[in-house]
Amino acid sequence: MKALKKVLALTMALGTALSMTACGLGEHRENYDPNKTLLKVGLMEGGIGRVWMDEIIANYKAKNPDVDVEVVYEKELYNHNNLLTSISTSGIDVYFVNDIYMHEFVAKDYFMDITDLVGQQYEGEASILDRMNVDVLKESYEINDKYYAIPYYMATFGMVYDIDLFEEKGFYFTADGTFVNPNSFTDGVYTGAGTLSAGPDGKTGTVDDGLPATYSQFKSLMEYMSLYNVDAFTWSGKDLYYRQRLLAAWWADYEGVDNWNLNLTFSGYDTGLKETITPETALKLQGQKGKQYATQFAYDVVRGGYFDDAAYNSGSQTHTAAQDEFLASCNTSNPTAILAEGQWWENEAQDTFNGMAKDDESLAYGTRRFGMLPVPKADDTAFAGAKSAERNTVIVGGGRSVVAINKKTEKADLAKDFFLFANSADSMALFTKYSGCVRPYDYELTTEQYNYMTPFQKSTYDLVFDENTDVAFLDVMACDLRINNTSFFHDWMWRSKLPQGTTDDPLTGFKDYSKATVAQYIQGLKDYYTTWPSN
Amino acid sequence: MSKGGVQKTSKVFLIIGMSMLLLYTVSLLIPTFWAIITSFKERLDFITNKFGLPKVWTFDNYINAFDLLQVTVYDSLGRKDVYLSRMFFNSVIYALGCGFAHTLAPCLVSYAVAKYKFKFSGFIYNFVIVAMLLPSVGTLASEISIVKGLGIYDTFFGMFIMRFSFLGSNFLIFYAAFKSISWEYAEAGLMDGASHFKIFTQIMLPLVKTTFGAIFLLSFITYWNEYTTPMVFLPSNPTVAYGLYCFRFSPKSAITAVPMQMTACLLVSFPIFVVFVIFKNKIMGNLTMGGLKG
Amino acid sequence: MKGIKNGIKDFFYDISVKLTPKNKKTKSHSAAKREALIFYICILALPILQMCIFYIGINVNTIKLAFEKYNPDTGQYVWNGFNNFKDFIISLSTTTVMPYAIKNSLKLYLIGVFIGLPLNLIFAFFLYKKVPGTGFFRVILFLPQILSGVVTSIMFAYFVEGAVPAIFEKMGVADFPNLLSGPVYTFPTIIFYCLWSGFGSQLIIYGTAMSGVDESLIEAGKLDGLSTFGEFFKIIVPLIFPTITTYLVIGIAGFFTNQASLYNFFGQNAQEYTQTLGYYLFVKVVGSKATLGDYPVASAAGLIFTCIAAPLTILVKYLLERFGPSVE
Repeated sequence: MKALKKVLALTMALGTALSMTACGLGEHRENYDPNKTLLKVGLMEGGIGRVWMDEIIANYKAKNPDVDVEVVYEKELYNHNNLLTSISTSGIDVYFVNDIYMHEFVAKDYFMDITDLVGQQYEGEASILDRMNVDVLKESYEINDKYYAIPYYMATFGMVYDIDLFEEKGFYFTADGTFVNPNSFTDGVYTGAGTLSAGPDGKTGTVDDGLPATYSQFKSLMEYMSLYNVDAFTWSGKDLYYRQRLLAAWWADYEGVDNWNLNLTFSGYDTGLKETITPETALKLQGQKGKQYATQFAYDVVRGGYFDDAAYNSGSQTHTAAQDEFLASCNTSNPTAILAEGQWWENEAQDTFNGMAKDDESLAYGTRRFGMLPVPKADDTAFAGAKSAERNTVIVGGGRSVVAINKKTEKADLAKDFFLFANSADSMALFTKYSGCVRPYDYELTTEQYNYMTPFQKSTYDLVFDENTDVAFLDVMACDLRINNTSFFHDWMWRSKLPQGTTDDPLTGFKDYSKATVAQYIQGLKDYYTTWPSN
Repeated sequence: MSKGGVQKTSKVFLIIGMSMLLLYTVSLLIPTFWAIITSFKERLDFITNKFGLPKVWTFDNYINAFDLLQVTVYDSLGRKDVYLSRMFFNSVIYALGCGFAHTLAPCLVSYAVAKYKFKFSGFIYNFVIVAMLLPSVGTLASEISIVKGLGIYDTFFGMFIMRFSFLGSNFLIFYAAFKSISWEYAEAGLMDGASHFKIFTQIMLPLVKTTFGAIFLLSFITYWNEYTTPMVFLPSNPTVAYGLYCFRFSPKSAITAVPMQMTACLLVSFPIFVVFVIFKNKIMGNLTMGGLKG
Repeated sequence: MKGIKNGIKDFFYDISVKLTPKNKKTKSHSAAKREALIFYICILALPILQMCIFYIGINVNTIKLAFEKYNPDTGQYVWNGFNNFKDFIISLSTTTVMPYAIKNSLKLYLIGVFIGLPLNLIFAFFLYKKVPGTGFFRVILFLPQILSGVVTSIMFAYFVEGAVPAIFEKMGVADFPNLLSGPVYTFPTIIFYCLWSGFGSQLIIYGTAMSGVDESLIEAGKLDGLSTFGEFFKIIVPLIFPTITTYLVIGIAGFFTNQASLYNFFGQNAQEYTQTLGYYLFVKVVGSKATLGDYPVASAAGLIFTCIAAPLTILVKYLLERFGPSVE
């Protein structure tokens, strides 16, 4: 036995030594041409992926043959705290990162002043600043009349529904308000009796035909699904933000973008509450009826059981696990119809698509059809902010994402040139082509680029850039009070002190506390905040 | 001697003991077998078949892990891909050195405090207790600047120095061990003219050999599994624990799928498992103590 | 390095002895004391130096931070007096998580002391008495420590959330609750997880201590007719009591810092009813919600805990040493 152990240990040691020598001491160094100038770009790697960046860089290198570019892809290392620690010594010239608190970086003088850069024209195009098309973003990225960073991405979030499943089971409404028959679509076109209802936008012949237009229709759809042993919803049990964003989509659509933005700026007039909001009185925003609408929706989903049980596996259901469940459920006897996810999700789930496509090609990435289910309009039409009833308001993330140049860069001119190149309209088009997400600027896709996207990506692209759509950012640093108290305001939108206990989102709260009501939740939103920061 | 003991051990005791141990073993082995089986499952298979046997047994996860468990490091010279074997090597050096430093320092200090009744000893003892209670918050930035200032940033030796700390529970364990050794051993030696140093190295240290070994083993395992500190202070030489961490938070869903995660964890744990199996008797020892008679 | 220093001291001592006339055995008392002092200083030199640089130097920062506030405009910390302490104490009564955190930390601690510690002792004793299969059991009991916390928590989560309800369903019990969610089941399940995966380090230490017990005492006990159970209570436990004391003393600090693997299970979004003090502080500093502005209050909280825990620890240590079973 002892001899065996000694042999085992020796083998392991030898194996290590051998495999190390085989691969150059276990390391491989990528060497860049010393004759070229090397630019280092840091990219936060997430659901958006990296293919778009690789192509932009290839284009840049083709244009500038004496330049080489190295891209550093990191995920955890580029979150706010880690980046703050590493940026001054990282040697990275240009950063593309997701949500950070930009003001801390500016206060510590880590970002280069790019005010001139964003105002200048590049190769005949309008300047970056002119192409930025979301006002609340423009204001929030301006710090002391200067710009130190620009927004990186914008991605919508909502209810991803399985079009194939909907068509198969007949989850659509006719103009009479009844459900269509199962399997009455051919190649995406309705071939059954009668015509489809107009859908939430009130117009026939648009992409949302047949979808529930009002809340009562939506509720009856969920009930109808359960008759067919279809779970209406699934989401990530582990990732709180996915649940919160799902509900924010409902809230924003009810209120409309102007009232929604009050939650970011804390100043203005709320047409629903009929009050002027200031930073000191912003707690009143907890009374917005849109939030109540979203909470009611959550309540009905939970009490009705219109969800897949796995959605509540808070220990094991990550957002990728939720994607996998959703995708694989179509082959089971208990499929799931709607997944709470963001615009990038198909990109993230490519491996699962590919795996399923091996057995059945109709399930491949880009072949399977998904869409973003529009939020139905509330039944109460007495809402004073009637404008929101006509518009489509979609919730988007990325309001704190950043493209910036490292103050400590040693190749300032090269970094600036690359910055302009990578944020030109052409490069932005590449971004959308490959990731399916968008950037909050004016730019256009060629037909070829547009057709490259999957059905889901196309439909969300259309949705976001539609003239009838308003874009509501989930989180933007547009108010000093919020900037100075980032911790306090991190959870303020949904944290509620129910009589039974405190919870961070209605979907979990109503599940944990079977006696909680919507009224208690709304009251709890105010009750939790007994003190409010003063500056 | 021990054989006689077993014969006289009551049967009731043995039965109770065996049942409790078996119960616990079963409760632990079931999830472990599940983890092992899962590592042989294809990803899609797992999604719909979480607890059954794999429809297709596949080694793909293991093969791919070696490719994927590679870490890209960016240092002053550029980009460097570090493979599993090298990370394994880094882990061994890191865990050995840090484990030894983290065992030696408390051993030295607790000996002095337990056996030498100077006022300073009482102060050190209370200091250790308070230090254990004081949480270190927001110290990362200062740690980095000190380490860089001393010129030991990004070196193995620097890590060993950082770990050469006597603070922590190891101090108390050694303290208890040394306290329970009678000073008579030392008296005898001092009378014979031996220096304090000789007493320590030739009489006292051997008496706490098992404690030293146990603490060293525990420290070794802790440092093997640790990734937060090497991530910040030893970025050019990633350990397997860091590789595992990258795996866990990878943006690629193929890597964060449960079968792959189980594979990576099992791969990383396997060397420690082997080490433990080899050394378990030495650590939980059956050494007798006959010092006073001899 | 130390060896060389001491070797040199040794050498000089030998010379000084040779030069001193008279009997070695009647070395003057002060000379003996000085010699002891020299050794004492030498052995402590390097560790204390390391501590001064790496502990004092760095942790003065924590204490300093507790009195400061972060200014987002300048990116610097500025003096804030005792406000952080005030804020934290006020938040104790207003933050809804505090009652849960304190209760949970207490439950975790008490169960650790009154169930976990005895279990560890008992299992260590079984192994010490060499029940059949000891070698095998030793490895098994230590397995959760070898596999990192990541693996065991994933294993456990999948099992509890997936397998357990499925098994109960097959046995005819429909709607078995998800043991890792809801205010009723979550924390007890977590406590169970901590116990279940927590054998290992205590086991080794107790086992080591037990193996250091003089065999002759056991023999003597047997001659007096002591059963195995008696052996346990009357001989083993008292003799390794210093080691047990150590664990109880360490445990007090653990009351404030134990985060019960919650981060592994729930990331930074653990529900309030399952949080512990340790987890709460941990997330305040490490989570991605944490910003530089959070460090000062967390430092202040830590200092307050220290001020409570330090005297408690010393008190417990004193009580245990005074009233615990003695070696006699």
